[in-house]
Amino acid sequence: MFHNQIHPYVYEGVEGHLNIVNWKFLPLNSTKEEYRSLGFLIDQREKVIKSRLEAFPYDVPHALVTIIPGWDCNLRCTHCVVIDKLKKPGQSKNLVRIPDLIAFIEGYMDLTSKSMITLAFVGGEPLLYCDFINEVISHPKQFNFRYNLTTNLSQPLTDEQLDVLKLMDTFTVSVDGSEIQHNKQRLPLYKTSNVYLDLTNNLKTLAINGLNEKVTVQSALSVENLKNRDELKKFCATMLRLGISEDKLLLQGQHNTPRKPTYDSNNKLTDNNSKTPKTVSCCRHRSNSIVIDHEGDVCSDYYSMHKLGTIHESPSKIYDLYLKDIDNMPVLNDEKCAKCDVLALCWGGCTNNFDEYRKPSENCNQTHLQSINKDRLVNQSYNNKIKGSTS
Amino acid sequence: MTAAFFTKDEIAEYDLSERLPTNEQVNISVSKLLDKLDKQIYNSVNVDGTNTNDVGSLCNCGINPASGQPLTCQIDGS
Repeated sequence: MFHNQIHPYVYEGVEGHLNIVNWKFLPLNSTKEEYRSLGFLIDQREKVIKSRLEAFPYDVPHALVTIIPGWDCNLRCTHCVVIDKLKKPGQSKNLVRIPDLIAFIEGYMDLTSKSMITLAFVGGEPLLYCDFINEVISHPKQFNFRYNLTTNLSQPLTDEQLDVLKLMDTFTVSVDGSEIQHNKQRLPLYKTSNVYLDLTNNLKTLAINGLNEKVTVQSALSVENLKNRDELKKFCATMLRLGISEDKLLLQGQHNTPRKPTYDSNNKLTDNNSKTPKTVSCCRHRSNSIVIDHEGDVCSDYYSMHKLGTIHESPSKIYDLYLKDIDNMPVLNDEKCAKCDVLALCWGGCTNNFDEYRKPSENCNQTHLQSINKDRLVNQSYNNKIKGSTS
Repeated sequence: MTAAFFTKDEIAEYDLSERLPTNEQVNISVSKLLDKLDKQIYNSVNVDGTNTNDVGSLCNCGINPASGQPLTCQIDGS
């Protein structure tokens, strides 16, 4: 028997074996050569993991380019992960030439063979850069683009800003709970208004203009707020009454931040107590997703802002740097992680959880992830991939 | 309470009655949302590996290979 040569990241279920690194499936009675052909054996570990990380992920239909028009922002939120970069409105200028930007994006995305590009405008507050966004959208392009914008909507919308929102396919609005909760976390740079009132008035304006169906509400709720069900009910009911659909109202916990990590009673980062399998690697190590800032710097992701180069360099050079950066993933250089059977449900965590990312086995989530119902994972994958079910 | 709500007059003026939920629908949706949250452990999600839309993470976008379903990107909502 050769089954002792199968890597621990291959899970066995009633229907067969599932390789959770490359998500290939084999029936239980497969031959050793079949196992080898799909990278199920221990001696293939490194190659299989590298090829997974180097591949453009799965069947994601579009590539994602996050654009930071500038760091101007009207808020200073208590949980902001980029607060050290923020500027007062008017201080952070966009220095990018639009033709250079579009040429680079299309050149980079040509490498991914994706048919659709999502341009996501984030900040800071991107609605403070309406001229830039209008120019980006109106510039001629060869690829199909869709547009998204993340906004705090926390100051009265101008006509110009409303027109920009009308150009978006979707937009994401940050709301952190009921009025008390939201205003406690979302602090205005200048205390001239009630940000929650401005926000809800703006959501009314969106509904009146038929834009409410494009809105996803994302929240960053503290653990305290998640426990307060009366306030949560108020929050949900208010959003629904303003035309936000139930499936686009996301109740989310606050993200750990490098400057404000949260630890539980066992001195573990709270994110590491999550039983959530992270089946894709951190966005720093995901090639179909890049970030371009207001100076034309191309970065791997929003959180670490790891600079790969600039839009004035060739897209293939940037992509090569991306591939090189995979070798620096701490999780691939950690001996304990190398032997871990849940490596591909973790991938070392998010760069935003700085401690976890840099020292993955010291901030390990292994026990929680190992409690996942593996049999169900295997069978669900079997049903979807082998039998072609969409359920 | 300072949140801005639609008044009956506004709903009529802007012809919003079709697009806004009834009180009953709001109550049902609120229950569903809180039920969904109860299946999570504060800032984590289902323990069966079927849903990787991590409540505690803002960057877990992509495709869930197990279900084949796209995850909601919590940065751009896509």
